[in-house]
Amino acid sequence: MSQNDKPLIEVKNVSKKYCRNLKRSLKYGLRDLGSELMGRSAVGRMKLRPGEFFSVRNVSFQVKQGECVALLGPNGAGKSTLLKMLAGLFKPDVGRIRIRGRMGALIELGTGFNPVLSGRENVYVNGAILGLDRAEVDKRFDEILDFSEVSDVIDEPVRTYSSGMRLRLGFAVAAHMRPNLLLVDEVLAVGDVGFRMKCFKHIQDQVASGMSLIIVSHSIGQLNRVATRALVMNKHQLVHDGDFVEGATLYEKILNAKKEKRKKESKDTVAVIKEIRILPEGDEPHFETGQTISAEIEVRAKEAVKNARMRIYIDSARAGVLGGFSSPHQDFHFDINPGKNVIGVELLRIPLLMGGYTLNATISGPELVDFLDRHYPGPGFEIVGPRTDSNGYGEDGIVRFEHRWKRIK
Amino acid sequence: MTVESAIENPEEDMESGSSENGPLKVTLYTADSSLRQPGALVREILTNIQSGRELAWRMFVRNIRSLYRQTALGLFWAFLPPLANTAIWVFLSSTGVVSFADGITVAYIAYVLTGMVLWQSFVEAINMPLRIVKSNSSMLSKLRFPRESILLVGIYELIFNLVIRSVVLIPIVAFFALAPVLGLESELGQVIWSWKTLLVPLGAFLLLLLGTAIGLVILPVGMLYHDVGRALIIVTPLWMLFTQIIYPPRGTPEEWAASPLNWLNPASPLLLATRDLMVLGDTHHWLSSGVYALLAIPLFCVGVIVYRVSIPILVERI
Repeated sequence: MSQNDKPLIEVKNVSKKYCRNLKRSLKYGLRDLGSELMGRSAVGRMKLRPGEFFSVRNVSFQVKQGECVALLGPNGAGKSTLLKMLAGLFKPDVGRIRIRGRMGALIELGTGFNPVLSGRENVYVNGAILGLDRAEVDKRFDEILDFSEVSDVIDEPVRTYSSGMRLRLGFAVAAHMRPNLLLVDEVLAVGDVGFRMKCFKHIQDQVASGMSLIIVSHSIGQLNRVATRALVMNKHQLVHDGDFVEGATLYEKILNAKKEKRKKESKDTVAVIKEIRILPEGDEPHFETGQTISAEIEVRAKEAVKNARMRIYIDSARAGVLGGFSSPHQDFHFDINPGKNVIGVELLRIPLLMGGYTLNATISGPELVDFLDRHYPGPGFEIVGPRTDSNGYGEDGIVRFEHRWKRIK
Repeated sequence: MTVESAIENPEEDMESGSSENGPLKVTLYTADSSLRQPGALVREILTNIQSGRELAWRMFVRNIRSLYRQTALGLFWAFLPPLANTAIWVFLSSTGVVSFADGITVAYIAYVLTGMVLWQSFVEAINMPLRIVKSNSSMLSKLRFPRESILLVGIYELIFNLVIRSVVLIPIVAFFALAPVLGLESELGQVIWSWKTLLVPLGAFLLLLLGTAIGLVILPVGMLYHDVGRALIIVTPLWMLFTQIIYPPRGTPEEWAASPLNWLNPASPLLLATRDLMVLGDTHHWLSSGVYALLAIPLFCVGVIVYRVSIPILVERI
């Protein structure tokens, strides 16, 4: 194996225990300290004590040089714990992590900024915290200043800065560390769009020059720009390691499944949506962009409802409600009879690109205020192909745009 | 600067490679206690102290600047507390309400002020590790940097505070020492200096080291249970009275040395000896202070290892 093929990160069977009960956690902390100071080996750490659970369980993966990996998962899945172990902030309870090269971690920007001191003073301190010596900061100071866009206030105390300015300065310092490996935790979720793009561009450039990246974010749309591979965590375990779009789809599916059933059986309601079935039934509903999706909506009614209306809408975990349509729009009029009613709907030539979506419905009477029932979240379906391309050679994003090119001149 | 791991073990090695950045350092995190490879741990701590010095200096300068930037009196606040405390005791003593000064053959002001400065430095040293880890907890839980550097910051601050106080203390004590020579006999008494007085800085430094060592050893429990910090606040004034800062040790030197309590009080021997050297030019406490001087350094080393090993476990719970 040549030097460059060796993984920069090797995570092997890593687990980490966690205890939410404060009193117990302190007691265990004291015991762990004891066994640490006695120099005991980690054998037996796999056992859970009362109140403990695994916040990261049996995770293994590798990251090679120049790879850009997105770490996805719902809140509380264990992403941050994993990242902090990679950063060496605390150690695994089981397993081992091997890191080759200089590691940088952006877990929070501007940590260590002192509000009373000037931006300039803080740049030097922050640089030192991140591992740059004075000469290195001197050399990069203009670049940092340029990147942060706060040159005109650099000698003012940081507490006079807006939160955006602080963030920019923090990222600018951190971005100029030139590590072999960079861990980024959600820090790019804030700031204005222009600056965010600049950060992504900067990260992309660094990845292109051989840096490896592990990035945690909830905005898949942004990750699409940089990540080629996804690790998906759910319930403290790694459930996917591979292609980014597949990972993102799985992540959306997990999010959809997690959404609490908001449905409540109202006593006054004369009709409820019992079920939405995406056809053909049975299999996981998988489609390709452009295919037709058929669904059946089953409505149970106690009484008849004349001139009922149904609305269908599509939801994306990534972007929210994408759009909807209702039955009167196409002059489809129907009455609901007491008992079981089934309405069919076809989504023709679905314009959605790869990802996970849900199909949802509401049922109402003829008037605006005649709301009867909502079925949300409805069943999920996935668009599994064709592959999207965020490098500018294909289609990307959520929606397919029908289009045509021509040369004018 | 190499960013070392708090918890890596000695499997780390430099790989010779063709990477453009030269050989890549390998860091290994495992569940095993880092004390299982004590040699590597010590080497690691030493490299970190080396590489964390610049960071420590920057943070120290940052702290001092920000501490006094928003004050009108600035550094004056650094030496006000011992002056104020001394003023209280001198006032009480002069009114005759209490007679602490009995049995003190030298200027009471110099005696108490020296004691106060040393005591305050010692107490600061004990509280320092807990204070510095708490005030940097957000950084510790989010950033990877040589953990030893914040300890260095704490030590720099202790020394800085001691130096600032010495700027007030030394001229006052010197006045009493030199007054007879200059023919300025004072009613307030005098102070005797000898060549042994030159040992005062060493005594003060060892006192700081001992205090820091105690602080480091109680740090892990203190970080988990806030009872420790609260107890310290209550215990400190009582401890000060017990340590005989404001009144002279009772009884003869032999009686003092015969009391195990005096020996068990870690503040007592080094502090009393250092003060004696400062105002009397000699001391009866050579043996006991010598024992604590010899203890201070190994205890400090143990403290640093405890600190180093416990930080990752504390960070999980910050």
